Amino acid sequence: MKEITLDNDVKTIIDSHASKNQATTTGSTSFGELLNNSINKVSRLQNEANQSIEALASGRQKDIHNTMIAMEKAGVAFRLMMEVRNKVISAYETIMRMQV
Amino acid sequence: MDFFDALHTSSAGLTAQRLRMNLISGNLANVHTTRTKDGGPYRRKEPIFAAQAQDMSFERILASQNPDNLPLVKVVEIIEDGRNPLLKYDPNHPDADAEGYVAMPNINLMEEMVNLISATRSYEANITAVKAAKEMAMKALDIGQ
Repeated sequence: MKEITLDNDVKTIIDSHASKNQATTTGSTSFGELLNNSINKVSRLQNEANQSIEALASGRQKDIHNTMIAMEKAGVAFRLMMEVRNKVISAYETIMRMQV
Repeated sequence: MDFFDALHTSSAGLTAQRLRMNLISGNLANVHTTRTKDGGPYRRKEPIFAAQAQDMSFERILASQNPDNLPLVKVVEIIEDGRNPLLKYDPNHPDADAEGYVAMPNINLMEEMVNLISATRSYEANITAVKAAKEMAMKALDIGQ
């Protein structure tokens, strides 16, 4: 249950990515914005899973499977976000290693 | 149609099968019930399933020409079995009629057991579908590694 209360982590990633990418892009929809939107979606799914767990724990909802599926959705979306983040970081590191 | 639609469909299937399981449990528990709120013996209950289109948002209808191509299952009705009650001779029973017969629910234990197995297996099938959908998504994420 710890895994899905990562709002703070998500927010720090949003902030770091937004500041990092806004400097490099000047287009109408920047990569930063795109990333921001998808991270917000991930955050929303995490919230949904959170609410679902609360509803199950307090007895408002009685379907275990709905809670499990909400948690899985949040988990998959979070992993997708992490993959994107890893890719961005590895690209950044490749550039940093470049010989001048 | 995204990856989560498969999960929603399976989720609806799970809910439907769970309700079916509850009804079967109710039938089994009330095999000897002679008094109900409506009078007379308990009548066995059965769910009626219907395919229904997913919740249609405006965006979704706009995006797709054929929006109800991925139907969800939904319990639309719970019917009571029309079979006549079984008459059992038991003159000492408080619910016996003038001739000493008691109307008992017409529930066949074997039939209910078979339905129980069917409900359990259907539930498992939906769980397997959820797992498979998740596996596919995870495999897709492994491309980047």
